[in-house]
Amino acid sequence: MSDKACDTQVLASWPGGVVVAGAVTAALAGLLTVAKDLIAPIKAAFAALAGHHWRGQTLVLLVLFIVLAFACDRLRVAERWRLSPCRAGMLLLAGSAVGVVSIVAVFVLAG
Amino acid sequence: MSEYLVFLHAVTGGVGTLLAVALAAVLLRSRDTGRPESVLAWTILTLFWITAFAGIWWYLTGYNEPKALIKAGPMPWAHNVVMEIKEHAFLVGLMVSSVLPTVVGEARRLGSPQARRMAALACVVVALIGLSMEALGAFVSLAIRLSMPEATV
Repeated sequence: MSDKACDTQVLASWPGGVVVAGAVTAALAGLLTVAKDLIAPIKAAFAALAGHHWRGQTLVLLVLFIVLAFACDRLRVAERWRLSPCRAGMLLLAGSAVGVVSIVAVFVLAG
Repeated sequence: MSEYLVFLHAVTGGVGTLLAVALAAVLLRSRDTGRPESVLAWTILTLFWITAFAGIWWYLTGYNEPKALIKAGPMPWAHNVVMEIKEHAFLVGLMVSSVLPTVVGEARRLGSPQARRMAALACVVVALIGLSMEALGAFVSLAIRLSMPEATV
């Protein structure tokens, strides 16, 4: 798929915001895991939020997803970044890769 | 109760993963995107969130005993590494599955092959993470079995 074909369309504001929110929170699922594994107060804060750090982290990610989607929609991020379907797909893939690789790395190294 | 939660967790996760594979195939093969694809995307999202709730609930109420068995058994890293990766990497899949109905709806609106490929790529990410979770779950089950007295595979 050439770059030209990729850039012919731009996502609407709301779907663009949801894609950015999904990619960022997918990456954050990993980065927050690394942070809470290395910094005890972060783990304690998640635990204090919802009774267990894993449940607290899930809650934070859900809230961030919703807030980011609305914020990116209001700021018209899709239009400003000219977020084409190809770029949106790559963004989701990159966010997921960051999330999964950081999680695997932190537990393999710690284990 | 604990066994039912594990069953629900595994089944909803497995079915959601298979539906993600099916949705990716439909998106890549068809020329337009319609209501069935949107219904499928919403179903996957719902199944993955049920999987998450069942998994978290079971982890907090029923996993303590199996965890102690694994840690005392021949494969303690099945908890320290495998289970830890499983419970956290699932969150990545959960976030991407939350995007599915929106990207499928946008693929429907744009009506281009590129937009359908974007939605299919999101499905593939969800399916790959789902399949990995099933494999890691099977590995944790094996570690529990091997940790039991007079263990047999």
